[in-house]
Amino acid sequence: MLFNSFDFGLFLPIVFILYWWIGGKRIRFQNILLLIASYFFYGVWDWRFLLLIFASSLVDFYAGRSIALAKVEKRKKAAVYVSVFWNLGVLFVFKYYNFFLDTIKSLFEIPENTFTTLDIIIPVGLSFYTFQTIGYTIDVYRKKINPSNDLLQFLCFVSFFPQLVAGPIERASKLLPQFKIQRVFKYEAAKDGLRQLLWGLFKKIVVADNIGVAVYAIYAHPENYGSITIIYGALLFLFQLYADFSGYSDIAIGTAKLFGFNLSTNFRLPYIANSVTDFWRRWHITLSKWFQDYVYFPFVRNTSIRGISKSNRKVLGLIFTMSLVGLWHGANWTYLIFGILHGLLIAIEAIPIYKRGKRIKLHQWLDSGVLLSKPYTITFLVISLIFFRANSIESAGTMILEIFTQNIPFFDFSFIIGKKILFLVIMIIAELWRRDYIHPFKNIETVIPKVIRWGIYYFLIFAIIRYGRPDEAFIYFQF
Amino acid sequence: MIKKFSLHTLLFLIPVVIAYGIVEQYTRSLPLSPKIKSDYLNTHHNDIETLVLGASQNRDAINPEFLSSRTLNLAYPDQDYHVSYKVLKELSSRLPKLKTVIIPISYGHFETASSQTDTWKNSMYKYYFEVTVSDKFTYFKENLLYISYPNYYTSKIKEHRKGKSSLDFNDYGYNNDISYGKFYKLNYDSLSIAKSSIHSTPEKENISFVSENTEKLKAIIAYCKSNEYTPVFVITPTTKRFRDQRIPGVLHRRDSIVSLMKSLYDIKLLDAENGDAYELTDYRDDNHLSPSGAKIFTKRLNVFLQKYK
Repeated sequence: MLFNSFDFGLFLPIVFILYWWIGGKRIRFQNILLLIASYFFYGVWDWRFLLLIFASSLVDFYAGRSIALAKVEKRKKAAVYVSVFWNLGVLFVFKYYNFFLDTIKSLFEIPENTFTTLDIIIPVGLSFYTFQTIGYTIDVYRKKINPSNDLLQFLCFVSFFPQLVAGPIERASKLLPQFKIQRVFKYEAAKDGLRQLLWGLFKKIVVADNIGVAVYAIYAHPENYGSITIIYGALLFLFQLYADFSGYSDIAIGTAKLFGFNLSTNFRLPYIANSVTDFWRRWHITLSKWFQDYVYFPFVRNTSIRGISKSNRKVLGLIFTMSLVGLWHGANWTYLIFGILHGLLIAIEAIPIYKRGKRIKLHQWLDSGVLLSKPYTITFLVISLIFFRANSIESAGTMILEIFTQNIPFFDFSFIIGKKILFLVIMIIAELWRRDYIHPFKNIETVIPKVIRWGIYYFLIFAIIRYGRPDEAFIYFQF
Repeated sequence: MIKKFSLHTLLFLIPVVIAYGIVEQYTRSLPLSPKIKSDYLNTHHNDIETLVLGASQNRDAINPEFLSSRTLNLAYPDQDYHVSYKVLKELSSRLPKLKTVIIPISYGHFETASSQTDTWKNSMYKYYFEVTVSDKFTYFKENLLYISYPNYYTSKIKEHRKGKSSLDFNDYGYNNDISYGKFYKLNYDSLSIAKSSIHSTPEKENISFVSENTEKLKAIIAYCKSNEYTPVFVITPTTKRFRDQRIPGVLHRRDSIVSLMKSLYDIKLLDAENGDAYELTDYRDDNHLSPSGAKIFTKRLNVFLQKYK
């Protein structure tokens, strides 16, 4: 079920009413209702997905308990391996198996019918919930959290519908305890949740989807357009991606607030970053943190890799981690290149330099807001996101080549999105103006009187209805 | 607290619901093509002998005014075989004298994905013709017109308020307005037209869709046969430059399927794809006829239908 669908518009109030009016008395009722709602929400895509998420939940629940009960280190490790291998195995089979086979075939020139590729669809949100549960078992193993003893709570933790299909990827230490206590309805929190939800819908439906029309056309046939049009398309994609994904996160966090939950912030104005390193502290924060804690740090601290100095391990770790971040987005070489490019830049930005006699890292110097640091970051993002968006390396190459080789850098005015560009401007101004808050409407009553506030809300609803493109899927669902 | 919150939310939403209700009602009252066709269907359903299915090519090429038998043209943009089948199946009970069903054989029909996610289709067919085209569970949202395609309906509301809409529709719902065609906008200037891009689907081979679309076409034919309707295949005229840029593989598969169907089910085909005899002014664009082209083509279709009656 999509957040921007009619179905969700019906689903949410029904679940909300049942949750607080019937389930409001006891934790168990609340959790049962959330679990049923979450499984329904997920099962609407394809009921078979439910079997997989249920199986994954069971594996990780019992892996967590085994780790806690095991007396010897060997058994604890075995339980972690079972959980990690299961989750990564599922991810590999559904998401990467065909890509892996195709790569092997093309590398070794193996005849077409030697291996059979799988004719399967990738369950929505697979990459998100598998990472969440891998994090759980590793945290139990590292004794950062106690294992869950309540299967119902754990099933809720894995399948919590607001963040199930596209994050934020929550840590068990943050989300799981929230299922253990009774949620009490708080007017202010629910109001804030509704406001954030409305803002997220505006970003997704009005800004992202309308920009997406022009982006789609330009990326489909870059060879038909001049340099300026292609740069324009690449820039628009930058904002489409942000509005789409951060819009989703706002809806997810806002919806969770309606049910008394607090989810992690996933975006902090990533495009005002002064460096690529800074960008990843602001973009998809929960994913960056996940990779940092479960991949990068273990890689750097792994002293068993002999013959490589710690500083070299850091460089390798950055490139390796960012390559995986790229691949996490999808089984395609374009994502890998996107990740490698970011890894390389982050590694370069980690090079120490001397400024006024002080030894600092390059990104620290950039982060201080030196001239051209923002244009540098945005330019790099635009180029790297061409790989992210393109269907193939050839297509990305064509786009980049066209930018530099078009004889006549004409602009195709049919892609001017007209008045709709104003919505993008509204989004940018609102988010910059309220940059100290997690969404522009947070504590808005302190600065804007009620009449104007309501006018703004009605304007956003009008824009959503008038300029909406119903049932347009979120970009990050495919990951 | 929860009661207060629910009450405040409801109060906040009341103006939204009222405003939307007004827009929705206004949209429903617009004299759009489906509204005219819906009225025509309601008035003449007992006399309709020919039903035209298909996408925009058939919508623009067949003007029932020039056919001898009473005809309802229900071809609409992006109408794939899945939708055509639903329209035929669900409408046939209301058309007791139906004898002939015109089935489109366009360039792209076999290799274009069935697009059931287009909410405007569900709402349009449901509201105007009481046909449920979606396979999925449907409820009240399928009856909401405006929100199913806000861009389109907003432009129609604006046109209507300026007094522009419905002036050129005939009684059968055929649109005689030539101004929305690409060639008209280019002043029928052959040089400008030659320079302009050609829109055609599919842009690449999509073999995976062939089987599903063929099955749907077979279902339409089977339904016609079981109800003793005469199915007639129609390929509408296209310009040379349109024909030249078609993908040979797509074309070959289409022609193979059509040949097979013709021989298996004894179906007549009116192949007018080579539209070189038509003037530029007979086209709206490379594969859509203008009203003057539709007049020529429909008369030819009429002769064809009379011949096999």
